[in-house]
Amino acid sequence: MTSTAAVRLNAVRKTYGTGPSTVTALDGVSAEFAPGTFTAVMGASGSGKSTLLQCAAGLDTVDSGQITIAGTDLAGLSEHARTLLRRDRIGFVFQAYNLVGALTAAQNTALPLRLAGRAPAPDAVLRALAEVGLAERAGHYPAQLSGGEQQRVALARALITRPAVLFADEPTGALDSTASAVVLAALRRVVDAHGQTVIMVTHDPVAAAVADRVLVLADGRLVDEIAGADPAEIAARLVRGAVAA
Amino acid sequence: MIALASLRRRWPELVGTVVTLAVAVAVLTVCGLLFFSARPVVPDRYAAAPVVVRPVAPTDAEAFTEPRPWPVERADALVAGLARVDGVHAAIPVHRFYAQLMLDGRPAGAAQDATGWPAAALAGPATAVPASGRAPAAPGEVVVDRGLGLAPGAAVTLLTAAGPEPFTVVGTVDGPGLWVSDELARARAVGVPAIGLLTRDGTGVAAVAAGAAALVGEDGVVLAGDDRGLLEPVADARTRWIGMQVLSALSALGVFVSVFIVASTFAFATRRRHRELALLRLIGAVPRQVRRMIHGEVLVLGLAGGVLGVLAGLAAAAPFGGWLVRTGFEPATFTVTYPPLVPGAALLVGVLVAQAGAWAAARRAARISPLDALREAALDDKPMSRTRWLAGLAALAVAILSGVAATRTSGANLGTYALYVAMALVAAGSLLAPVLVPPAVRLLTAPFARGRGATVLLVRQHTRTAARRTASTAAPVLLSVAFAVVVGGMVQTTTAFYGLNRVTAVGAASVVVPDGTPGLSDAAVAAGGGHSALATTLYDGPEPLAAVGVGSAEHGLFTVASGDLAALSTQPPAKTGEASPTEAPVLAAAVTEAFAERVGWAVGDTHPVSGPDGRPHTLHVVAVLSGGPAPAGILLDRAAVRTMDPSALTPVVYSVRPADSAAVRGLGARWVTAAAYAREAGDEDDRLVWVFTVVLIGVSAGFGLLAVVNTTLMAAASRAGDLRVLRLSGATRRQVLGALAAETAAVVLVAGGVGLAVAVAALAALARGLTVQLGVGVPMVVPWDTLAATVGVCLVLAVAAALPPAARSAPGAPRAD
Repeated sequence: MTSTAAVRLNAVRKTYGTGPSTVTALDGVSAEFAPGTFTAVMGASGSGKSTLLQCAAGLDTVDSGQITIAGTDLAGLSEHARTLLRRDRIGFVFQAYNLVGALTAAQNTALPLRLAGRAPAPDAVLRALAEVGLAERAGHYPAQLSGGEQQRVALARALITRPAVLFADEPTGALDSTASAVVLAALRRVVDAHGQTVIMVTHDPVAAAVADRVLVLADGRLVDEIAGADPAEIAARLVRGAVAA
Repeated sequence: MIALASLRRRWPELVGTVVTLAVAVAVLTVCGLLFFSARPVVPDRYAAAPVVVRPVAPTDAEAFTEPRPWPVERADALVAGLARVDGVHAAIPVHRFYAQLMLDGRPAGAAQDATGWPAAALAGPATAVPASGRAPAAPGEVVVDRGLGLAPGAAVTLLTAAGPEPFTVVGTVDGPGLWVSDELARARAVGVPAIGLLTRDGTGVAAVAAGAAALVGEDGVVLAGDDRGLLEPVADARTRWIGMQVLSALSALGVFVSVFIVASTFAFATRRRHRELALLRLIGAVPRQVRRMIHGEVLVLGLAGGVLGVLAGLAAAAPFGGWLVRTGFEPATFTVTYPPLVPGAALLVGVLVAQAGAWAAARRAARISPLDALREAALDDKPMSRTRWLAGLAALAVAILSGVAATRTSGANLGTYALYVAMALVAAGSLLAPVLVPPAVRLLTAPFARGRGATVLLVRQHTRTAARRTASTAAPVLLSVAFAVVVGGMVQTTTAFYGLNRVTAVGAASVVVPDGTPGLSDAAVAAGGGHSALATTLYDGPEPLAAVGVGSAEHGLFTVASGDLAALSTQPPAKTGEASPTEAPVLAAAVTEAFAERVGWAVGDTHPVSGPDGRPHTLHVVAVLSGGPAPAGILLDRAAVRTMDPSALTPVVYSVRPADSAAVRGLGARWVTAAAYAREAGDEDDRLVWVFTVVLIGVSAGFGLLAVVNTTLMAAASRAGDLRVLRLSGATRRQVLGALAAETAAVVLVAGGVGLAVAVAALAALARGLTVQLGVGVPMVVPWDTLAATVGVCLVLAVAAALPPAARSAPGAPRAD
């Protein structure tokens, strides 16, 4: 199953700083993310979960180990090539300020296509917005949208290129529980309806429970893998992991 | 699309940039239009002569001296030949000498010479046929402009190089000029400056010009059509040249300041949009796309500002041209023309200037890491990038080199080098401001740091942590103050220099200066009874050599390095018996050391030259003068100059007697005390330079103040978040505004101090250069009043611009942005 994984990490190590102040953010992490799956990555602050996402998305370099996205090894790519890979194969949703304030929801959604020099078909943009339930808000500017709506526009934009993988970094971190639920439902739907691969970093067990499985990181290592659990169980496992570690 | 959308949202913070660009393009449009309009026009006195032949002009057009004239006899021979050229109806030599009509003891009318009557035909029938009376025939007769209100029979006084002379008006013509009998004009003419050709009806001008050119060969230049504009008086050419200097300085300043302002605006905007740009990079924009987006935005701004500027410039050109004529930067013949090329070029320059200014910001934007989009808050990046350090230090090096060059140069280059020093230091100061200004602000506020209040603490911490924002506020203040002080100080320092130059070593109690005349007549010189020099021009080939005639009374003023100054007036007649190819009379001369060094002359040498009348002479060097100021490189005997040049005038008389204005009444002169003379911006050039200075200070300070308001507004807007936090932590509105005002004031004061330092450095280089040139200590003059005014205005504007955006920031919820 070498090339079937959407994203594959093999013994990835990443350290920051030098000398005595060295911090090991990822300490030999290996993981596979199959197409059409929804994975949550959890862990305490400083466990390395954000580093994992940044390295897996090719935003940051690794010290050793290998990362492939849809069969492409990131190690051999220039910054330019990684930018193009991000544009065409990777979608992003993160905590806040996901949108360009000067552009409408529709324009924000079409942005990756325009950056690629492709004219976006209007109905494709509208369809993407409709998938996240915002078709009627297409002409609004980010300042006119609620936080949850902004996150759903960001989701629409992340999906417009049909990426191999969608990275979400605390997508509900700045939202209240109602808005969170809508955004999480939208994420779940793109996985179920379109076979989209989603990797989501979160510290919220409720959010993690929407995923198919949960990877738990502590001190840069994978310490637990939970599948099909409810929020309470995830929270309990996290606490146990933290105590054990 | 992104560029346009982004501009639409951010336009309030970009208004300042567009206005600056518009002003710069307007300045460029006006300057360009005036530049192209400033073409020499055919003088009225040659209006009816389709072809004019004149002697070969000096190579250096900026020498502003009349070309070496033909000797009268040589001109006669040329006239005889030219009259036989096919199609020529008449060839008329211009005989003229210095003369001004005096009415009620004051010079009247524009004419500054009396011309032989036949040449009136070259001006046209209105001049060639008297409107009343008759043509002048006898030596004491003159025909004048009818507009002066004189009737035939009136007794008038003409002021000539000798002094006032009685004339009788025998006729009037419709047109300017003083016309006398050809006999008189020919007798007093200092050679012949031009020969006008009247053509037969139906003859082609080109054919006549070709025929004339073949005849005169290398002894003259044939001018036809618009080329006859070259015959304009050298004073007009000089005036226009000064006008050109004003226009080029204004254009250069406009471009420099625009680049500066666009650069700081966009550096600022890029920092504010850091997160948004990182987001674009994250979702797949390659660096080139980010760069292009910034340049696209700037293109739109450049076009917007450019179009506004071109429109404003087109509207302002005619009034400004009129002002230039009134102030004397352009001759009265000046009219504004509108070549379409000029607005187009100005628009293009505006766009390019905007792009150049945004270059660094675009580069910086393209380097933003996509990771920054994921970070909670963009890290405050290093205040000084390596490029900024390198550029700042390079500018500093250029400033030092220019300063060194300034102390080793002389003349007109000196001022230019001093300006280079100032420009390079302004650039260096702005680039290094993030390291210079915060420590300086901390130093300035140190005395207050021990207080319990929050204001000083906030000021000190903010300037330290937001070094770049502080620097962007400081830079335009630095620019305004430095330029205003440098330009003002330059003029005062050089005026002090020229004042020193004038009175040095003479020990004069009073000075006789021309009043409404180009120089002093012998009568005025005699009345003044002091030291003076009679100015004239010798020619080495066609090239002019400035010379003066002095009498034995002046000999004591000079220090002789070698030779004998007394031999100037006692030089024996030319040695006979030598195989001299010409009968050229010998002319005894003393030369200054500097001049002798430049041309390689020594005592005892002889050199062939032409006199001011065009006749050949043999110059015999009898003395070399050491050091000290001299009125010209070559000194001759005063009587010898008068013989060669019946129109020569004396620029100034230094007298030991007390000033006595009654003694020079009616002689076109003023008699003032030495102190008053050194103080006053006496002559016309000084006045023009002063007006020039005021215009430059006005425009540069205006640009600078625009920038001050612009950056302060942006800086204030960018810290709305900070201020909200302050309000939330319990600061009253008054405290927030107080801290902001204090911080702005501290930054303005520090920037003013750096600007003053820049100006002092440039002025010191200038004063040092002048000292070397004169050999006498020239004091550096710092215009404290200009400094105070500029800093004061900056202070008021900056604080006024900083407060309103802050006053609007409520402690409420953060804006969705």
